[in-house]
Amino acid sequence: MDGIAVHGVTKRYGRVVAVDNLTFSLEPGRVTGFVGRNGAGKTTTLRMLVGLTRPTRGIATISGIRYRELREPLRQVGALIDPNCFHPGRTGRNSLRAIARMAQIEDTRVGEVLELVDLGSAAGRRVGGYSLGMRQRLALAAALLGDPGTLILDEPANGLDPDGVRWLRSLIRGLGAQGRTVLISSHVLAELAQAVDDVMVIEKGRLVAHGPMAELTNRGETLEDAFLRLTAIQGAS
Amino acid sequence: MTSAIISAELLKLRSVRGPWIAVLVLAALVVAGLVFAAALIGDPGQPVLEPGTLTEMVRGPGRLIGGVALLLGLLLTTGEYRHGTVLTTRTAQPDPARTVFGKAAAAAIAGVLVAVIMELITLAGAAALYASGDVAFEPLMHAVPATLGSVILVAALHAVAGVGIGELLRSPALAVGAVLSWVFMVEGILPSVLREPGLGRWLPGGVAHSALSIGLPHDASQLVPAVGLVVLAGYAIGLLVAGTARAELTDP
Repeated sequence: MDGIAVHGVTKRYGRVVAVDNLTFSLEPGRVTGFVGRNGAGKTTTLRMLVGLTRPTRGIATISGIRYRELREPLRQVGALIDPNCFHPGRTGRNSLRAIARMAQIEDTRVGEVLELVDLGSAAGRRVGGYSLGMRQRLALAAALLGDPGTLILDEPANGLDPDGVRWLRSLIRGLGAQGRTVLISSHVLAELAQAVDDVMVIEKGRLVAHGPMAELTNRGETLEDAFLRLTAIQGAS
Repeated sequence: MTSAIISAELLKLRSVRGPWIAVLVLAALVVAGLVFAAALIGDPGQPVLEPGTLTEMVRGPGRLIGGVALLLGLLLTTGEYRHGTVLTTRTAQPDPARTVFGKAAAAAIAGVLVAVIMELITLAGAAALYASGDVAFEPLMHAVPATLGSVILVAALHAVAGVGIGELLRSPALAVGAVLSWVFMVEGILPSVLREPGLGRWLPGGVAHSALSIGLPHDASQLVPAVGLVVLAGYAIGLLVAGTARAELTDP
């Protein structure tokens, strides 16, 4: 299974520093929560990991290789960056078939992941008629197409109903238990706390904490309490 | 890997309604053109139905077919940015140049298919018209095969140019607006503004016109057809390279 390594990554947009000299590494078999305020740099970091955004400085790798240089990227990394990444006029099944063809993944896998995310019966409908939760499930199916060793999920619980959130939690825990590296960003800290082994906290583009969930919350705090304490310290400094 | 990209891009193109609507509208226009020609032929001042008229009938829809092929190329690229599918495309195939060239190949294949279908419709309609007028139907003579070839090549080149323009501009409205402005305004006034009346034959519309002029007596104000095709190919490749550079240098 594959690990993630980020070393000295900075991303500037003009005078704005979105990510500032970020360094971390994630080991296979661990589910890591990635938390931060709006605009803290979470999505930019995740986009840099999958080659959608070029770092201004530094290097991000999966199994020691930059995403752009991976030979079969979807078989190594599955990414859910935005559920609005499907043509509304295309069916769910054809959306996944197009991705599978491009990545040279067999068509039979499309049916498997559609069933896995409980979209089998809606696969023939156009994505424009899907709810946000259904698009989120479809994006998750796209991430799982290549049965990858590493998963990078940005706010995967957005739009899911309570059943869906519970299903997602068990799916993520299951993926971690299979030895995969899972990095998951979320604002729903109470939910995240039930699914992750480790937590990374980012504030103003900088990593302010990274460690096992139990260590970060060892004063009997909730993850939310710990997050507010850590980001308050960083904000004051 | 490139064939996988082409196959994926062709699937994208045929799995949404926009391209089908464009092709159906084109087919309706081609049929309407045939009906119009059938009604006019033989009228005073209009062409007489004779074996050589077939070349004109085959050439007639060439520019329109090129326009729809260009639109297919535009839809294939700008649609990715409009609907965010560029995210899944780039994560599945992280090399932007490979993706753009795959798109160009897929658009060219689609353009060729559209041209072949439209010309088959034209030939079928013409065959019926010739049979009703008891005139010899000779599709292998009078430069008809060469004209068919030029229509197909022009369609493929327009499709490639569409991919390049789409990658450069990324917005469907902006791309379509830019193309229409160029065709209906800029190309018409540029030679006058620059006081270079001969410039028009070197501009994209002029070279497309020349490329489709196979079998016609040479018009000194136009390029010869072969040169027209080469210059048109130059425009298509130039736009594709520029679009690829933008895809390589800027994040989606």
